[in-house]
Amino acid sequence: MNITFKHLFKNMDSKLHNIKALNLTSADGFTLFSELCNEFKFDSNKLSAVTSSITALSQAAAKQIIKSKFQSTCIETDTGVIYMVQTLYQGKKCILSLISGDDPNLGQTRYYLFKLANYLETATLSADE
Amino acid sequence: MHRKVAFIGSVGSGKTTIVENLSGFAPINTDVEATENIGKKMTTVGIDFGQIMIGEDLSLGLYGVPGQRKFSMVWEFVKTGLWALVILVKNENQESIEELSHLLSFFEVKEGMPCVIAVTHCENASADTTIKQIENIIKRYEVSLPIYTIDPRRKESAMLIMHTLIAIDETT
Repeated sequence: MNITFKHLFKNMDSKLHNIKALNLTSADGFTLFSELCNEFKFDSNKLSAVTSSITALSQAAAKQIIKSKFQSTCIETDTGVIYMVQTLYQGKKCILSLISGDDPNLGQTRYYLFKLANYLETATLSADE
Repeated sequence: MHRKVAFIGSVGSGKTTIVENLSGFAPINTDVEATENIGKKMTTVGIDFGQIMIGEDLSLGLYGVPGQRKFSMVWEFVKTGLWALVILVKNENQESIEELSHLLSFFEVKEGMPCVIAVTHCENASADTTIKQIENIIKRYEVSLPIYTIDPRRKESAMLIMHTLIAIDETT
């Protein structure tokens, strides 16, 4: 079966309900794949740049302050979260990010996002239809 | 006293190098591998942070920020509470020269603000034409800014900029 990023978005949405966006970017901020829900309009390249900067800063903080390996960053807002995790795609460092719907379950968001990040490390996605 | 200095300029102009050169400790570095051909292997996507003590009382926080406009979120972050700005321009690089206008506007550079323009990559070519173009640009902003040719790898070059920023601050 050919898996596309759209499939992954739909699958994630069925578990977490009403997610706004799922985005995969290279570590230097170039969008590889991006899916948005219909009602949510924004520039996915902006999200890629922002998530790559924030992840790089989070990694530096983890290394310099706690001397630990970075795992994830979460930005909480009054309506939802932006969750960012590091992954690999086709052997290159990437960042997978998710913008949740209203009132997200943080534990579930983290669990499924890590699971997807893990899957992407060995996956080859087909081009979106 | 702690003050914040930002280093900005196009990709490959020497921001990371100058922060590394000036900082009293190994700087916090947020370079990642570049996936597109930008003329070098690594590129900054977050902030290069270092610090330098000037005398006993003045500590300068050195913030090298990404050159690409798409990272302007980081520029916003650094702009808050900014004391001084160093704009690096690549010699004979039209894109880098033209970016100067955008940076002067974004960082709201005004007469009296400690700000220096440093032209890099001058080792193998004269910087006269680049400097003339820069002078024409800053004339439009009604500011008089010092323009230096520097080698970011050399500490004396980097220190010259720091001392100039302090001198501008003391005379305004």
